[in-house]
Amino acid sequence: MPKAELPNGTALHYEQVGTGPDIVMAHGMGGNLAIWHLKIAPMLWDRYRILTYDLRGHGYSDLTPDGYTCTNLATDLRLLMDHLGVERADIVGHSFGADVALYFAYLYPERVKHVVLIEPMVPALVPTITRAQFERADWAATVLDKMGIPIPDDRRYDTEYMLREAMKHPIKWGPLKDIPARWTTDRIIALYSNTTILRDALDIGALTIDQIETIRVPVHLVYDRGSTLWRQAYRHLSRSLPNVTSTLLPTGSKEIAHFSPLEKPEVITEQILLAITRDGKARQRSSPAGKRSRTRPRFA
Amino acid sequence: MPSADHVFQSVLHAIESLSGDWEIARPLTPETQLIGDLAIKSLDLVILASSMVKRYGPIPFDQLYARMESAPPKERDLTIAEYVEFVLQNAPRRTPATNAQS
Repeated sequence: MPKAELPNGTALHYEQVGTGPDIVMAHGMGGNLAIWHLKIAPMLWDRYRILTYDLRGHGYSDLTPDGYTCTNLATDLRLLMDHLGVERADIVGHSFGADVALYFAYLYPERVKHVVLIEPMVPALVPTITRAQFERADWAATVLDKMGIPIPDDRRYDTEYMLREAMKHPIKWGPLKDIPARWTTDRIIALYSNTTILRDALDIGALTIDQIETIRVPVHLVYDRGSTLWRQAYRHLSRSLPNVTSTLLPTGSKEIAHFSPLEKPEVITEQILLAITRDGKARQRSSPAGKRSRTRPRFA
Repeated sequence: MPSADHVFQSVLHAIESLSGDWEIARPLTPETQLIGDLAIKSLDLVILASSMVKRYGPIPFDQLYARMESAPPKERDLTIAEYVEFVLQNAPRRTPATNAQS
């Protein structure tokens, strides 16, 4: 499988498929590049060159003991694009990957056409009270509760316990849905337990609240109405970014909010296309994505 | 239009290149099951699909995944022969030269 040995010593696994303008996609914490390939990439790779990659510590990329701040990961992405000769691209990110995409737009605006941010939290916008909860993974316990995996009160801050409980349950999305995850998850547990990722993910770096309004590249925000934990970030970003559009997607009764690339990939694909073609003519396309969506963008 | 043998060899090569992260207990044959025999992960499935798209052009693997997902979990599987057949049926008739990477 293709791996890029970056000048900073980290090897990243990536996939680059299709022909056309470049779109880069960054997944969220604990995930891997597969989230884009189950539905979204196949709907786009006849018209775009799609670059997906496993963030460091994820999938088949190197598991490093540290270096997981958004600043570090945005630099990883720049080095990966340098390695592949991708000069400028549309950048799409989900959750933690959306934070990375926002930092990338802040640090390297000349490398960005548009940014599509799906449920970013943004370190500077994490309120103090939830900051401690986040570090202790309380948010994960809440998500697991909704997935039907109850976590006892005395284990809500026990990351390894929660991960092992989660992995006992069948896979939630994709071609292996409802099949028990038989393979070990030691790598994911090592990521949370043996690295600085949970602390690093909240590192603000240079992108303070005041600096957010200096990001001039076009940004499109996509949030689920049901993503209550992320709502503050949505409100702030949609008001403070100078060149922003935004969409609040309805959350279906059976959906797990926040996971829209997996829960409603056709809608997300439509949102990506709307965002990256909004200042130009849409590329010729045969995808029915737009016809399937019931949502309409609400431009801020 | 690729031949069945060409696609089969491409699939074998792609699976073997993945096997650094998981062991293949016995020789791969057309009857080898991706889930039952290889315990393939979603990530490996999409890497395998990417290698096919690079070689043969855009293939709607999302349709294959949807078909797999619709099968009852206990019956769900896919042999290498079935995978090859899907590629043969869905690959563009003319392989784009720019995509013909290994």
